[in-house]
Amino acid sequence: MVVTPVRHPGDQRPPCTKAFAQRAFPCVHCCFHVSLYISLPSWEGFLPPPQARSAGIPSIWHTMEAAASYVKDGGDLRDTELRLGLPGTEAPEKPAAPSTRVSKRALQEDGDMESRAKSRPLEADSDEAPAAKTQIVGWPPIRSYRRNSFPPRKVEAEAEAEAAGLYVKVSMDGAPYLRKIDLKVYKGYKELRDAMDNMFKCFTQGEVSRKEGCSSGSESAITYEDKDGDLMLVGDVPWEMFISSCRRLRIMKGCEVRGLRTRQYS
Amino acid sequence: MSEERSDMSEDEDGGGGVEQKERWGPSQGGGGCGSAKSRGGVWTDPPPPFSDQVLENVLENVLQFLVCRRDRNAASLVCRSWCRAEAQTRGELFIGNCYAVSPRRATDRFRRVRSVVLKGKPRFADFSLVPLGWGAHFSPWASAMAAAYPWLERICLKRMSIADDDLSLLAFSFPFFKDLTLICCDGFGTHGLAVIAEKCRHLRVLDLIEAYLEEEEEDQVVDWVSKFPQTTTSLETLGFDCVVSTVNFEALEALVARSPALRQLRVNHHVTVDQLFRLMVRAPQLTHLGTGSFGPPAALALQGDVMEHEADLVSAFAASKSIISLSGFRDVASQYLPAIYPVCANLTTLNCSFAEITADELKPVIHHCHNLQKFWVLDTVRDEGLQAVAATCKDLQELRVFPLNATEDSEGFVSDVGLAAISQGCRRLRSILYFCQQMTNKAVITMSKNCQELVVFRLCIMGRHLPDHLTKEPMDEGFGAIVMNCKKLTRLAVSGLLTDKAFAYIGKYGKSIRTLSVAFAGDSDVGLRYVLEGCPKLQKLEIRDSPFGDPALLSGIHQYYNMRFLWMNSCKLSIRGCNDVAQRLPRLVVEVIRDRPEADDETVEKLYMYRSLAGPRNDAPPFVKIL
Repeated sequence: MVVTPVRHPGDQRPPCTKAFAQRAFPCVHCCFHVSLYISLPSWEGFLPPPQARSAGIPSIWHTMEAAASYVKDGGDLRDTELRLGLPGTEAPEKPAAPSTRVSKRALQEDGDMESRAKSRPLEADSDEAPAAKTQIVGWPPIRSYRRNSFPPRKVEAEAEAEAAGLYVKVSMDGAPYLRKIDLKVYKGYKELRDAMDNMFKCFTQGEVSRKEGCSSGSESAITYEDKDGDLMLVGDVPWEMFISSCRRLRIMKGCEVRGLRTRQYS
Repeated sequence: MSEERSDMSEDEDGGGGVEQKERWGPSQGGGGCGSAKSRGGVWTDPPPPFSDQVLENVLENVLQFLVCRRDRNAASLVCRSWCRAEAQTRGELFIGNCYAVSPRRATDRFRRVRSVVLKGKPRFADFSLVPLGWGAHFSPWASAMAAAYPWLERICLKRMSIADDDLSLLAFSFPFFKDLTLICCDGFGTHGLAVIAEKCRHLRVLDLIEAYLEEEEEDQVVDWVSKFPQTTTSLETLGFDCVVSTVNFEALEALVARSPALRQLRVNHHVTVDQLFRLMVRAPQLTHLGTGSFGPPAALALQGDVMEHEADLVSAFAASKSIISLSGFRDVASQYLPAIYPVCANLTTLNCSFAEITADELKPVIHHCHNLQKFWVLDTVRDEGLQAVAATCKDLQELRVFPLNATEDSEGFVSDVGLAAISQGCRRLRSILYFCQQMTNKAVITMSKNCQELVVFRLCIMGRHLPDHLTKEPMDEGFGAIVMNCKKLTRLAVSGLLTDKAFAYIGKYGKSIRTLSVAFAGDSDVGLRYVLEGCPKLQKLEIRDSPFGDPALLSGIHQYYNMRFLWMNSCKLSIRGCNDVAQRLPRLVVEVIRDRPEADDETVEKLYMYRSLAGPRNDAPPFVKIL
C-alpha cells in the first residue's frame, strides 16, 4: 500500500521522512490532523453510535497492520497520535474486574456505616410522618431545612388565639377608663408591674407603693381575677401559671387593700 | 442565600465559565523546562526529545489559561500530549458524582489541583427519598487529597457526609487552606468547625449553606467562634445561618471587629436585631448580610425599647454604602422591615423566603429595589406582591417563590395570575422556581413567549395531577410552549396533570435540556422514551411516581453513558429490567435501594444509576443492592 505523506494545509514544515510518520501537530484551525491510526476502540461503550462516529473524519486511513507495526517502532509519536480511543489510556482496556481499590480507611469505616445504616435506614421515611392524611414522602419537593423552619400549622382557631396574644383588661380603682395589656409580652412580674406603672402614671398622685404599713392614701395592690372568678393577689404563683389563669387585672387602692392583706395573713 | 459561585447549580454553566474565570486565574506553578523531568506519574514513556518538551511546555503555558472545565475536557481529548498538559495545568477539579471516579484515580491524573468541587448524593436526597447512611462519604477523598495536594486551597462539597475527623484532617493537611464551602452536607458538628477555625490560619471563606449539623447536647456544643486566631484574620466570608446552636456573641463581635476583609456575613436566627446592629457597626464594609432573626430581642419587647432598636437599625443601614445582598429575616417583626429601605436601591439579591410577610409589607420594600436580580420570597405575599415585584424589578433574573405550607392540600397563596404578572414585568428572567396550587396553560405559555432568556424553569403545582384550573385540561401545552419557545432552556421541572404529549414536546424541542425533574406525570412508557431518545444533552434525569417501566428504561441504553445519573423511584420498574441494563452497560453502576425490607423482590422501588470508572462502590449499606 502506498503511503502518501499528507501535508496539512498551511503547514510549511517538510513532511517527515519516517514512514507513516506524520507529525500531527495540532493547529489552531482544526483538530483533525494529517494522520489517523485505527486502534482498538478502548472505550466502546462510551462512543456515540457508529453513524455519528464516522461523520467528519478525514478519509485518509492506514491499515491496521501498518498501524500495529508503527506502534512497535516509534513509541514517542504516540504522544501526539490521534485515535478513536481516548488519550487517557495506554492500551485497549479490558473490562475491569469489580473494583477493590479503596483505601483502608474507607474499609474500616464500613463497619461504622453498616451499624449506622442498620439502626436508621427507615428514619428518612419516618421523618415525614404525615400530619395530614394525604402527605407523601418528599412532596412537595421542599428541602427539610426549609420544612423544619416553619413549624406545622396548628388548628386555625388555636393559631389565631396564639397569634393574637393574651389580652386582659386592666382596671384601676378611680380611673375613668380601663386598659388592655398583652400578658405574653412580659417575661415576669417585675416587667408587668413596670408596664402597669407606666400605663397608669397619669392617674396617681405619686408612685404606687407596695410597702406595708403605708399611709392610707397611696397604698395599692395589683390583683387579678382568675378563671374560677376569685380575686387573687398578683405574685404568689409562678409566672406561667399566672398567665394561664389570669382573666383580668385590677389595681386596688386604699382600705380595700388593707382588707385583702388582712385576709391573706390571717 | 447562596451566591452563584457557591450555589454550584450548573444551569448557567454555558456562560458560567465566566464566573470561574474570575475566581481562579492561571495557576502559578505551571510550565518551566524542569517540569518535564520531574513529571513522572502515569505515563511510562521515555522522556520526549527536546522539541517535544518545548511543545509541551508551550502547551502548558497556553492551556493554563483555559478555565472552563468543558473547554478543558475537550482539550484533553485531542491527543496524549494535550491530555498530559491539560492534566498538569488544571487548577480546579470538578467531580459531579463522587462515585464516578475513585479518589486515587483523580489525584493520579490531576497533580496540581488547588480547588476541588465534589458532589455526592442525588438531589432527591433533599426530599428524604434517599435513606440515611446511603453514602457519599468525604473520608476517602479527604485522605487521598491530603496525600496528593498539600497546596490545596479550596474545597466545595455538596450533599456529602463529612465527619468531624475529616474536617480535622483538612485543617492539619492543608497549610494554605483558604476556602471551605459546604452545601447541604451533614455528619459534622461544632467540634469540626472549631478545628477549622483554629488551625486554618489563612482561612478566607467558611460558608455553611443549609448544612445539617449533628445534634449535640448542650455541654457538647463547642464555642467554635472563639477559636479563630486572636490576631487580625483574613476572613472574607462567614456564613453560618444554618447552625442551630447559639454562638458566643461577644466572640463573634470581636471576630468581626478584627476581620477587615469581611464582606459576607450570614448569622443564624439566634442573633437578634440589637446584636445585628452591633455587628453592622463593626463591619460597615459588608456587601452580603444574612440578618439572622431580624426580630426583637427576647427579653425586651416593651414599646419603648422596640423604638430604640428600630432607630439604631435604620442608622446602621443608612450608613451602609456597600450592601448588595440581604437574607435571613427569620422571625422578622414587620416594624423593623422599613429599616432596610436605605439599601434597597443597591440590592441585587434579596432573600426573604423565611419571612411571612404580606403583600402590604412587601410593597414598600420592593418599591425601592430597582436593581434587584435575585429574589427569593414566600408565597404569603400573594399574587398582589408578585405584581408589585413585576412592576419594579425590571432586571430580575432569578425568582423563587416558596410555599409557606408545603403540603399538597394547602391553600396556595399564589397562582397563574402572579406568574403572568412576572412574565409581563420581568422580561430578562433567567431562572424561576414557583410553587403554587393553581395554574393555567395560558399563563405558562405567556411566560414562554415573554421570557426568552429562561434557562431554568421549575414549576411545582403542589396538588398532584392537577390540571389547568380554568380549562381542566392537562398542562401539556404550557410546558410544551416552554420547551418550544425558550431556546436557552437547560433545566426543567414539570408538575401537574401531564400526559405523554408533554414528553413528546420535551423530546422534540428540548434539545438543550440537561436536567429534567418529573413527578406524578405521564401515561405510559412512551413518555420516558420520548425524552431519552429526543434529548441528546440530557445529563441528569430524576423521576418519581410515574408509570414508566422496563421497556422505557431499556430505550435509553444508548444514552446512559452520556449522562451523569438517572434516578427513578416509585415507577414501574422491575429487577429484570434493571439487571438487563446492568449487563448491557458494564460501566454503569446500577443501584437498587430497598428501604422497606418487606417489599417483594421483583419490583424496584428506587433506582439510582450512574456511569463510573470506579466500578461498584464498596461502601454501600445493606439496603443498597448493586447489580
